[in-house]
Amino acid sequence: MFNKVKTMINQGPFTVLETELNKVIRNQNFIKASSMQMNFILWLQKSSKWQREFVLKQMQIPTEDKMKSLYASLNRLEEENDDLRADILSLQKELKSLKAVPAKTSRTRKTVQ
Amino acid sequence: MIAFETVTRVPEKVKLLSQRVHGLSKHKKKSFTQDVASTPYQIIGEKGRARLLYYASTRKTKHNLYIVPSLINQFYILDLYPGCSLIEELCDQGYDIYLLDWQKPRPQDQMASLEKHIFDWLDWGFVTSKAHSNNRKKWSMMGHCIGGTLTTVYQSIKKHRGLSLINLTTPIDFYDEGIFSLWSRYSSVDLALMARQWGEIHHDFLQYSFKLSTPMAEIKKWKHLWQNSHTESYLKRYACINHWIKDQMPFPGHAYKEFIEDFYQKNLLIKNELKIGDKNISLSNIKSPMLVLTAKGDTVVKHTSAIAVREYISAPVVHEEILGGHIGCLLSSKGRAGIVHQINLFTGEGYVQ
Repeated sequence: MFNKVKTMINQGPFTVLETELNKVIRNQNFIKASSMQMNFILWLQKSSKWQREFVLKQMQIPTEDKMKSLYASLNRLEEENDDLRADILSLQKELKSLKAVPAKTSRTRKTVQ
Repeated sequence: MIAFETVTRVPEKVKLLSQRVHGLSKHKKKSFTQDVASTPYQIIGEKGRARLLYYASTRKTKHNLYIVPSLINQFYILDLYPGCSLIEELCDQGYDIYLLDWQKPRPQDQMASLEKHIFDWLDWGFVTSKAHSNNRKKWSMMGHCIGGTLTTVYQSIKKHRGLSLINLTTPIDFYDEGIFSLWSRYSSVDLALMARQWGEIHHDFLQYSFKLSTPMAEIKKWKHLWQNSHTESYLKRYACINHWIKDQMPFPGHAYKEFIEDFYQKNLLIKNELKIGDKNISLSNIKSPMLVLTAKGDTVVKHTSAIAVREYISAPVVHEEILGGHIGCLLSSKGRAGIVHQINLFTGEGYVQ
């Protein structure tokens, strides 16, 4: 005990505090208590949802659920847009290759004549 | 005699004190952060939340690097300011760099899964980069932090030939003695509820987690600032880092839930039980050589977590330790020099200095 106190005095208050705090944040009970606290906050937020939605509806502002469905359709549209862009690119490539073919054939025809 | 020496030092100490106070008064000056991320780049394209940046090599190009930064950091920690930029140094070594900038998630990205991040946006970035480089052959994919985990998962499915991987301070085995691993394993936070309630995991929450992981770091930071506030270069560095810290990105809620549950809590990646979308991820599918860079003082990603990859992939793994911490290795000149040197050795390219 005496040696422990002696080392702590030698280390200085800053290092002692740091060591102790590091022990605390690694403590399983601390982690469990903190997660319970987090869950409680989340539960409070969840329970106040109907009040928030009531206010939003009164003010004719889209609610979170409405926004989520809008985001989902936005994502779907974005995907469709990407697909269409890819299609356009492949069609452009095809067009280029098609343009290149008749030029060759006409030259060959001329040489044949 | 001692008293006399002390008295003669008084003017010197007063001068230093006034310089420090003066320095502290201007440490928030905007001019310090004006040249943040100033290495010239070209935007090649955008898809979803991601955009692809191209940094041209300042010498004859020898190799192409596709860089994937972490999902929670702004990319410019890799290009903080001239003279403190990994990207600038790599460009000077003859690397053409393509960087996937995740950007801040848009509101509609709340539901974006890891599958979308990896097999849509990350994949698009690589395919576009290759097309932009006229399908040049020498390619390496470098991931920083979580970015490295994503590139490892990506390569295990795509199996690109001729592509080597570089993991910079990247976690692979998530059951280590790191603080985040402990927190994730023992906490019982309802992640599904969190993702549903918050939509995206705001950067304030992530910042508090980082601050709590090293409780005295903030005080140490202020102490160092006070001790070095008479140095202009230190003030600039401090201002730029502070600017970057405050400019963090939120994590899309759905992807966060998937990442914490599958990687941190269940450690599915090294168990070969990870499923991203409908794809089974097996690290043994990776046949590309890999360079694993760990930082000596990294408290976020433990050494053991990063090098665990060599037990699971079917290709040679080169491991090197560099100086600095998780972010410190990018900020210190010795750390950056170490990274560039190791990349040069690994790729067999670069210009020997």
